[in-house]
Amino acid sequence: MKENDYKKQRIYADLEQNLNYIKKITGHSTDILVNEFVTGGIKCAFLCCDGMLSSRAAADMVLSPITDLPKQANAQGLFDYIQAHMLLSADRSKAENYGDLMRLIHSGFAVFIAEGADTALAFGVQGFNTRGVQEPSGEGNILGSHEGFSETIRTNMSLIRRRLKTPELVMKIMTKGNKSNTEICLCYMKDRVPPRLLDRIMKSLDEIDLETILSTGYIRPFVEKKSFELFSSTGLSERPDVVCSKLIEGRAIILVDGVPYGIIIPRLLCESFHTIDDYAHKPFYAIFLRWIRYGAFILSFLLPAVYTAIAMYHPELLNSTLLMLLAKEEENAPLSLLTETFIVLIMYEVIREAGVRLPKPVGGAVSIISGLIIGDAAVKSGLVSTPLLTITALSVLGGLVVPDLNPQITLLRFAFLAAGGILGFFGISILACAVLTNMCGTEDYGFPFTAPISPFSSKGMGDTLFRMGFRKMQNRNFTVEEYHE
Amino acid sequence: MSNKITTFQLCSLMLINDIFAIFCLCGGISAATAAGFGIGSVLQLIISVPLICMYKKRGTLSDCGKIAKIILLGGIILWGGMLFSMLMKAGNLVFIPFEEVGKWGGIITTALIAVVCLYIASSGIKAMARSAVIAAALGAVCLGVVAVSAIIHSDLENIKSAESTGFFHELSKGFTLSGGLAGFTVMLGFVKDNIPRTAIGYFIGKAVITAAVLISGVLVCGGIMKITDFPIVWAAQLTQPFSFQRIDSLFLIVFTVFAVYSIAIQASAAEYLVGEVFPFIKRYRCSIILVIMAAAGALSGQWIHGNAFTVILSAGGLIAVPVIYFIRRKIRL
Repeated sequence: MKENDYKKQRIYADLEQNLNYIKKITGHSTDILVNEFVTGGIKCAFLCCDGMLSSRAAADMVLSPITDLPKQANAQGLFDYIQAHMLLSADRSKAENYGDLMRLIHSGFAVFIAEGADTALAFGVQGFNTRGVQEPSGEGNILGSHEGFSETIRTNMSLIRRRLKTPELVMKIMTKGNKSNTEICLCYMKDRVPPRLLDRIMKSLDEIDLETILSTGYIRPFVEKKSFELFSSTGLSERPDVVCSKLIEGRAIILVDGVPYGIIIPRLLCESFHTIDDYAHKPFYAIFLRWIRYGAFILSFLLPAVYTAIAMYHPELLNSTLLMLLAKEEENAPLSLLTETFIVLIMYEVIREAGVRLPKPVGGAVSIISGLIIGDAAVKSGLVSTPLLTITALSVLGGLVVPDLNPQITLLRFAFLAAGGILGFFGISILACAVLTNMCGTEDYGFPFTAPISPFSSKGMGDTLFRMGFRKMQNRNFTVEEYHE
Repeated sequence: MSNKITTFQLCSLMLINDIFAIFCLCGGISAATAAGFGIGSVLQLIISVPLICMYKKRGTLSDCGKIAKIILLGGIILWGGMLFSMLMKAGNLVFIPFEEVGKWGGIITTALIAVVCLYIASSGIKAMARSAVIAAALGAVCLGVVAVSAIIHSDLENIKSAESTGFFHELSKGFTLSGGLAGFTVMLGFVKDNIPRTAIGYFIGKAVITAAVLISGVLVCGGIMKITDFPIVWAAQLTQPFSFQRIDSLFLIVFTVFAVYSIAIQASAAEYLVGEVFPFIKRYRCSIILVIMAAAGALSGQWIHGNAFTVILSAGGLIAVPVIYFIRRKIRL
């Protein structure tokens, strides 16, 4: 049998042939449970996937009532009786081919087939173990909700629905991945989302012909432009409240089963600097925090480069006291300033990677040891100067303020350092031109990534450079379509 | 032309080009130079009226025949070459590390700028225009600091001591730095907003900003104008807004960014024209153009009348395009 031959094959009416075929498809897999029984005078079988359904719910809601049916003339009569008189589960489905039947079994449905029936009835009694709703690990906040998405798509859908109890919110589930049959859910507000955006996203999703979808990274390339973009024009969020705010602004969200993140389409650069806390604080404090983040972002990739360029090529920019201080510190360093900075930054990246990948208790130990090594031993031995270490630490901290852009910041930090170390401000300037152009050229579905800064929209500034109060915001009726070009 | 830009974006692109040309302005400047540039801008607006009418009537460069486009292309390539040449000359004053290596340093610097220009121009006009707005904003802040500092530390005597070489000479000087007119002719066709308002806004902006930059330069360097090669670069270096710290190296950032965008604009406009005039060249258009521009820049250093010839070609193209368009339209009718 070829890989996907079975998918379009209609279900056999003969029960034995049917069961043999299912066993052939599944290769007699141990977790596919087949229980034959007689009800209503007709031979039937109950199929399920071990571990994917709640045994108790299946027994109480499906097995118990279904095994005690009045006598029926044939399988069709039996199915009609079940459909008409019994509400075994709120989530009911019908399979006509083996593709659908296997998908339902693997999704935790209890599937019911009968002798003489060329269809199968399926009842949703899923009960697999999942991680519950927990606090988001990467998008911390102080004053907002502490609920984050989990790996179960239905739970994530409910988290959104709980916050937007309106019929305008539409959630469309589809299956992608030839092997994984992963459920993905496209969410949007039908009265807000630009219809063209929705059409084009659907077309992009139709292009997906992957075998498996195991993370959002499998889908994002299909909904982003093919050309090289340093920054991503789609965003991720593990917070249902953030996702709801994006939905209200007319964006589309894609949820992927098994991933605790929603893909936001389109995403703008300025949104990386927004947090849900901004809307909980007073506007003046929110504006202050926002500007801190903008500043931290610029420092995060430019500071080491500017420091190296000034120290190596433009010392006149420093006042005499600072210049003397730096000269004294760098006097005993055995390596050139550029090499020294590179080494410190690479050391940081190695430590960070080790901290992330290692088990948590070991990761903590790595952080302490590396902190001691870098912070104390390296400076005392004269391998690294204190000002350089301070600059690097500030730059790294700045990057952590905007976690969304961390991959880009990391690469840009190295690129700018090389440019500044070799060519001074001249190098930094020409690289900045290239990066700026790439950033401004990032655009998907006609939404410029750098909006509302360039192309400029004065209306958009109210929630970009500033954060207007809710009294003004309630009359704004903003949707992302305002930025469409 | 699917790549449409806004008024603001066109003005940013063209003003960057004009201000970079002023940065590289050689020889003495005076208050009369500022007036000359201002009046020059008004005259340029007047000769642009037929072009504005053409675009307003939804005419395009495709309707103007090859001759006008070849004239424009020549003007753009020569002006691009001039920009490379000006960059090399003025680059000696602002510190570029490789410049110390001698001839090879210059070649490396030119090559690096050409590579970045190639990337910017090939990213598309929209990306270039959007980023130019941010670059222009950055430049405006830096120039604003220099201008404020110049006013604070200015000596009004400097305006008197800066000698003028005569009004008509200053006016012609204003015109000789108008090689960007050919690029403007092409770029105006990409504007989606109101064309007359865009053109008027650009020329008024140009007059005001060039006058402000030149006056700032005169206020600072007026007394030493005779010994300054590049008065604006000198003015930026002599202007120190903070008494305790020098910031003139920051001028290098604005200088480099404006240089890159000025050349990228020419490359982008030329690429479009090459596509129109030589449609059989499908690949490497931008690379070919930048190589020709760099070569033209190397040659223009030895060509005394290069600037004047560039302006004649650019202004000629600006006039020829609408004239040919309207003649062809009349014949068709």
